[in-house]
Parts: sequence; C-alpha cells; structure tokens
Amino acid sequence: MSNKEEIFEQLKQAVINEDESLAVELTHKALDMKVPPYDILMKGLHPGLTVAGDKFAKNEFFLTDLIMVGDVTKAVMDIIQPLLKSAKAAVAGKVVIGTVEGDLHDIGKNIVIAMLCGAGFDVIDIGIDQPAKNFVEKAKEVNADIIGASAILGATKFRVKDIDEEMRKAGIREKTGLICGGWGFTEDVAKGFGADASGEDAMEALKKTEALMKKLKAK
Amino acid sequence: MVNWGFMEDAPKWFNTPWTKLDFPFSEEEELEIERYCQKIKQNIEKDKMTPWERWKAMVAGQEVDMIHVQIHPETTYSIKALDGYADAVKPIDSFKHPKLFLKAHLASIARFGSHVPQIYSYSYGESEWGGKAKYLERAHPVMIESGVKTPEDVDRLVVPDPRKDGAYPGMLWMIHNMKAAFKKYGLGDMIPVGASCCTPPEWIVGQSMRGLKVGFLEPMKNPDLWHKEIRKTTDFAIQYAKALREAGADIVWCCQHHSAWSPQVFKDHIAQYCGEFAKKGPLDGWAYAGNQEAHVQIAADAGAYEPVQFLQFATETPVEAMRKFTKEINKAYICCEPDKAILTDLPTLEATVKQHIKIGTSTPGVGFGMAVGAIDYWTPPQNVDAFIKYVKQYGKYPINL
Repeated sequence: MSNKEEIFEQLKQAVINEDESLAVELTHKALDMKVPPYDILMKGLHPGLTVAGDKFAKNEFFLTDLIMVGDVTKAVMDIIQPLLKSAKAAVAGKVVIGTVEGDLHDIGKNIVIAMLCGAGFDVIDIGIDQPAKNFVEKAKEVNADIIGASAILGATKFRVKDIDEEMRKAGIREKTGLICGGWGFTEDVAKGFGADASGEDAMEALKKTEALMKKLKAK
Repeated sequence: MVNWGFMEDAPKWFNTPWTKLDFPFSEEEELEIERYCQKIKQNIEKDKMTPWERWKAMVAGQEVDMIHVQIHPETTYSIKALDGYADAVKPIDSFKHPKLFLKAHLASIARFGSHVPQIYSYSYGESEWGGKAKYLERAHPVMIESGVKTPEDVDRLVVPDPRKDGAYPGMLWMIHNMKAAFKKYGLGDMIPVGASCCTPPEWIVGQSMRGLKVGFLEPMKNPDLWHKEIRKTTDFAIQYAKALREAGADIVWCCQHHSAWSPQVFKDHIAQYCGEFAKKGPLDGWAYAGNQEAHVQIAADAGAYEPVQFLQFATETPVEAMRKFTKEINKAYICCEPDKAILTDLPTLEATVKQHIKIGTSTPGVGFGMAVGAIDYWTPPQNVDAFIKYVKQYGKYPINL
C-alpha cells in the first residue's frame, strides 16, 4: 500500500470511528503530501461515508453516529472545499437545500449537507424556515441542478408543493430536480407534493440525490 | 415564570396553575360536547365489552371481545376532525385554546370510533428550561434558542412544575374536563382517558433545554454535564406523569425513541433514568417510534418496564420480535402502524393489518392491541377510517383470518 493509499484508508477509518481531530490531521497531512483535494474527497471521505451508511441501514449505527459522522465530514470539507473550488474540480452536482417555511428543524438537513458534500456535491444551504420563493431564487442564482427541501413536521410537508409550483412559475422545473426529506416522506407522499424523489433519512437522501442527478444528466 | 425562558405570543393563561384556569362553556359548546359524547356512546354500545373493560382485560392478558384499537391524532390531526378537513382552524389555535384542544379530541374519537382517547403532550416545555420559544402554525411550539449556555446555567435551572408552568396547565385542564364530560354524559365508567407525558427525560435535554444537537451529543462529549441535566429532566418527567394522573388521566404513558443513541451510550448514560422515571411516575406504558430491537433488553434490565402494563412499538421494530419480547416479560403489546403504513393504498393497509393481527394474537395469555402513531397532517380521513375498520373487522375474537 502506498503512502497515499494508507492515508485514504486512515481517513476512511477516522470517518467510521467518528474521530474529527484525526480526520482533520490526516487531511492536512494528505495536502502536505500534495494529494489532490478531489482524491481526498473521493478516495478517503466518500468510502468512509459509504460504510457509515451501510452500518446505519443495518442498525449498527444510530442517529447520534450520523450526527458525529456529519461533523467529521464538515470539518474535512471546510479544509478541502475552498481548494476544490479554486481547482475547479468536477462536482457531482449543485444542490440548493433548506428547511421549508414553518419548520425550524435543521439536524437532518445538516447531516444531509455533510453527506452530499462528502459525495462531491456543491451544496448551498439557505437555512431553516424558508419560503418557497427563496429556494427558487437561490436555485436560479447559482444555476442549481437540484433543490432539496427538508420538512420534519408532518404539517409542513405541503410546502414542498409550493416549491414545485414556484419552480414551474420560474420556468426551471424541467431542468431542476426537487427532492424532499424528513420522517414519513414516503415516495408516494413526496410525489403527491410534486417532488421527484424523497429520502426518509440522510443516507437514503444521498442515494436518491445521486440517482436523481444521474437522471437529470441523462436528459 | 420559572427560569428565564420566554414564549413569543404566549396566550394569557400561560403560566397559570391549572386548577385556576377557567374557560367556561357557552350553551352551544355544552350542546356540542354532549353531542360528541352521545356519538362516542353510540359507537361503543353495540360492542360486548366497554372500552375500559377491554383495556383492563387486554393489559391483564385476559380474554377480550375484539382487539383494542387506538389512534394518536395529537393536536395537529385532531383539529382537522373538528373543522371537517377544511384546513381552516389550525393546530396553533388548539395549542393556544384548551377548549379547542378538548373539542378536537372529542370530535376525533366520535369521528373515527377508536376505543380510548390517548391525549398527546400539549407542550414539550419549550420555554420552561430557559429557552426562547415560539408557536408554529401547524405544529407543536418550538424552542428557537436555548437559554442554557454554560454548566453554571444548568446548576441554576429550576425544575419546572407542570401543574403551573408554561402551557402544561392547558393540557391538565383539558384532561380534567374530558373526564368531567364523560362522567356527565354517561361515559364515566365506560371509557378511560389516556395521556402522554412526552417527551422522556433524555429527549427533554435536547428538545427543551440544550437544543437537539447539543443534547444528543452531550452523553458522549460531556457526560458529567449530561448527568446533571438529565437528573433535572427526570425529576420533571416524574412530576409531569403525577400531574396528569392528578388531573384525571387513567392511563399515563410516555413516548420513547432510545435508538437515537447506540446501545452502549444508552446503557451507560440514559437507561437508568428511564427506569427511575417509569417506577416513580409511575408509568402505565411506553410508546416507541423507530427500531428499538437493540435497546429494549437494556431498558428492561434498567427496570423501565417493571411498572408498565403495555409497550407500544411502531412497526419499524420487527413485529414478530416484539411479540416474542413482550411475551417473555409478560406485558401487553400494542402494535403501532406508523404514518407511512397508513399513507398507502387500502388493499396494502388491509393486508398489513391482517398480518400484524396474526402475529400479535399468536400468543394467548398476553395482551395485544393496535394503534396508529402520529398521524400525518395530510392523511386522508378515509385511510384512518379504513385502519379502524380493518382492526374491528379482523380483530373480533375468536380471530379468524
């Protein structure tokens, strides 16, 4: 195993072990070794996130594990994201994300952001309690591929429909995907509110966003 | 006002002891309440057992005429039964007006024909632990900023009193008046009133004291402080359970979701408080969301199930495993379909109900009931009707599927 491969493996393990300080140390070490930031992302961070996702699906990881994995990912991304941007590294896609109007929850959204960043997406977070027009204005401004709407409170789910309608009014619905997430957001419910896909947890949200991106690219 | 919290746009009755609350009923409202009670009576009169007889038999593992069925409309969904699904009267109105809260629940029980009202918590103590909080249009009020910034803040926090602080008195008034209405209109001996003292101690730390993320991670990142915090929230939860009973609740339970934490963290830092809360409340039951398979034995070992009569598990926890587990510890099992199970096509829902009845009734001598958990705000009433209909249709003893 080369030094680079070793460091990728160590970073992967640091993610799985939820060790933020080690992950930061390894990221700096990799950059000192002139490892391209995109490789740090795709060969170290992303494999770690994949294992974390599998563990969550198998009931070996729990919500707090995902929060901590999200924190590790964010810490690594805070270091490499500016470098990825300046190197104009290929991104998996551009996502504008926020929590819908009337809902102030952000834990799920923040974990999803970390997961998407860790999978190479460029994510723009517009925050909590956001009206539909703010999602759409930001998506137009940054030319987003996908809008992600988080709605944990059951009664705020209909705001996803507002976003869908706002996207249509703005003429971006054809080219821009809409994905939503939160407890009880089954695919049927999400589609009923005009979304293309939904994820009940962060790992599902990541998989569905990747699949939606593939679909949009194939258009 | 305890501590230093603040609720934006709090109703005038906020922070008034529940025994001093006075929301008189007009003549029309009296008639409305009487009508709801008449309908509830009509719904249950044709059955061989009253809901209370059935409940007592279920938790004792004795013979029943049919499977006990309940729904948890909570404040958000019950208001829809009250306004005929117009989405005109909003949950916020119910949260601010305990009379609407009462009427909405009576309307829900009359409308859907569930056996026992299970009143969900009216408040999570959003401002009672020092935070800034606000009401939301279609949901529970929410803490928007924690007031606890330092360990010293935790030390000086006064444990709230649910009998007089915040919005809790509104719930106690409502339960007292539901009991009074049942008594007045001939349902007093027929139907018990259930009430939830949600959330449990470990969740109060996150939801109402520190903010969810800090609260979730505290046991791992700052265990000493965590134990100080959960000590206070456990003391509160015990008082909340007691206050519900003082107001007239016949069945007191608490919602749970242990599996936010790993089994090891739960065992080391949380389970003991669940055990203490259950015993000192005392609790009649726990109602679980999420998959709890890896956690229930730890909770049992901590004594969390010793006093309780029933355990309700949403079907994210495998039904067969929970039937087996509840049989082993000799507790009634209420199988709860989560909202996504209800938000499906009716043939699928029918098949699901039949399958769960088959598993649930496979162990004679231990009780079994069925429920729908937090009903999604946009659930068509036809789906709730169908769930109740299927349980009543396929749940008549002797079970013949």
